[in-house]
Amino acid sequence: MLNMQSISRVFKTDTIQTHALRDFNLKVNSGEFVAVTGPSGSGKSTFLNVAGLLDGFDGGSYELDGVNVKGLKDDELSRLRNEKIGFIFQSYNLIPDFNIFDNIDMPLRYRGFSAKERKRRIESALEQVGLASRHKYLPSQLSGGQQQRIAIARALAGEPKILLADEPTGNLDSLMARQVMELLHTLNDEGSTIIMVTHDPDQARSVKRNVQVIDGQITDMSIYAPLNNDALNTAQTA
Amino acid sequence: MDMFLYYLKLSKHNLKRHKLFFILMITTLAIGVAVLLANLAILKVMSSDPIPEKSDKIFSVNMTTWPEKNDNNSEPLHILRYRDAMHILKSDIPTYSLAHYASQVYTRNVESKGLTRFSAETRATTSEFFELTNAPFEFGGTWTNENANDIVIGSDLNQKLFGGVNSIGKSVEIGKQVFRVVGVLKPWTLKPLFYHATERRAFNKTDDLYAPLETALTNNWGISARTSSTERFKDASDTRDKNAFYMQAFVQLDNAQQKAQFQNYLDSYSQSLKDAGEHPFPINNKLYNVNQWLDKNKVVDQKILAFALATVLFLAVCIFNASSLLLARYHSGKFETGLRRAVGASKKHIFYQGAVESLIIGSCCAVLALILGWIFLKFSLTLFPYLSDSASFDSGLVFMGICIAIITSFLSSLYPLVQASNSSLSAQLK
Repeated sequence: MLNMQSISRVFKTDTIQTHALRDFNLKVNSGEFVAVTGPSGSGKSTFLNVAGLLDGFDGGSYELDGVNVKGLKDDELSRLRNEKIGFIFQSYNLIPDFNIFDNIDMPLRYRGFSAKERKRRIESALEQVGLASRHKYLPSQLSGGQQQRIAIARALAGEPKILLADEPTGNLDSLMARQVMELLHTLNDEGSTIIMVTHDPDQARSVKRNVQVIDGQITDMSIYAPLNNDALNTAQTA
Repeated sequence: MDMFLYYLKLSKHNLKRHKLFFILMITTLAIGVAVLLANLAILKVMSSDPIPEKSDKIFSVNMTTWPEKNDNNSEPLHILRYRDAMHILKSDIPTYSLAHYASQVYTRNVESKGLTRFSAETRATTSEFFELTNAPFEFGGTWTNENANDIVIGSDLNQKLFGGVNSIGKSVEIGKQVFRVVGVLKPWTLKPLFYHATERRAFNKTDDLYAPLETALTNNWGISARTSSTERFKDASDTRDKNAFYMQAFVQLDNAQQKAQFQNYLDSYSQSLKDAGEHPFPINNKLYNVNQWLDKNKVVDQKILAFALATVLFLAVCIFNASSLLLARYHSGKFETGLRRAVGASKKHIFYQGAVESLIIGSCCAVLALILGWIFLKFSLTLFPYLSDSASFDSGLVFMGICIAIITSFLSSLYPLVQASNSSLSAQLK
């Protein structure tokens, strides 16, 4: 599903060169749930931006669902983002004065679906996150947890190959966070591939595979012990 | 089409969301466009072709027949002596020819019970004047006898004297003479007034009364135009055999051959005068077609041209202002742009969305600019009262205004749009 080989990403200013990613290798198979952890400034977000095609890379190769993304033009990258990736952000990133329906509708518009198909997908996605009756609400009329579930519905509506979650529970209290994590696990159980950046060790432990990034490299793939042995085995074989 | 409708929906939403901002931006652009439009309306009248169907065939005759050489008078003159004008009229080369001078008389309907006399701007001319200038007749036609007491009157004077009815055959008292109306013109606007574009009269109204040149001279109707003379003369009739230069002549020459023949005709005449010692100048007669003639007389006010340049610069300033306003808005809206890009909008999508928004802004700006432009034009015409009945927003100018508004709106959004569509994606989203 996702295959990064020797990826490097360097940020340059007049005086400083920062190697945000170096010799970064990661392969994620279809149906996996991967937690990416690491200290601040380790390169987690850069990895997620590169993986999500929000940022480019300077060296190495990256294949997403069999497509080599190196050298693709903006149109092609945008289409890949739209068709294959679903984003879940820490701050939800819903447009505050668009209602729920229009927020979820946004990525589908750029895919060129008919109105009927868009409506079907939006209703199905809202059903999946348990907020089917709220499509006319504004984001501000929902709780933080509900807003994050709407953001997940937006990501799901495009039926992406992979979900990229950047600290999806970072802005939520523990109860809301648990609900969102349960939803992500359910989606994974139903076959969704998920990569989640998190600072929370408990959340990292709760998933089948852990990856730790330090100084722009993957250093130890089993820093957090998974909660069950099957998951541990899966992580070790990977 | 679906995407276009989506962009329209988003633009409408944005306009509602940032109402005050867009009002400010639209007003900024509209003022710039309106000032330019008002100025263009005036320029258009000033620089328009008064007789487009044959402006390249009608020529003002300028001759070198002045009898005395001074320091700097070798250029041909547009004012001619009676005998020069008669020589031009005598030629059968032009399709039509005319000589004229401006005068002014007081008129009264002979049958009127009152004694009120109406002042009439008068053109003492020859019968082909009407065919050459395409003057439109409402009733009757031109005179056939250049010495008869026949007149043609304009629509306004016909209204004053006869209440606007068909007045052919009716009598008008001018001085102590009685004249017969043989023709009445329809309301006639000729701007610029090419047959008398000199002496800053290019935007005068067409005349109230037209009379045969010979009759006018015989009756000593005064000369209300530039007159230069090397001899004293008593009155108008006395100018026939004097070196008094005041008449203007125009000819219609339909092709190059006719023009060459007529030029040759003029040059031969000047040469014969020179040979007889009547003038000392090299032969330098000139024929200016209507537009050349208007250019030569600088009919377009130079101040207006300078102001036009200033309005273009002012519009550029408005575009820069609107552009910086938009740039600020795109900076504040980076989050939404970044989000759209993240979920699949390409740079083109962002650009097209902005372009549709600028189309809507341009349309609003066009409506406001036309309203403001009309107000500015009315205000400007107080400075140019002689244009007040002809400078207006015609369909061409309205169309131009709409185009300028949309183009300026697009121009002002171009840089912010490029910036917005090229902004870094990852920096905006967390």
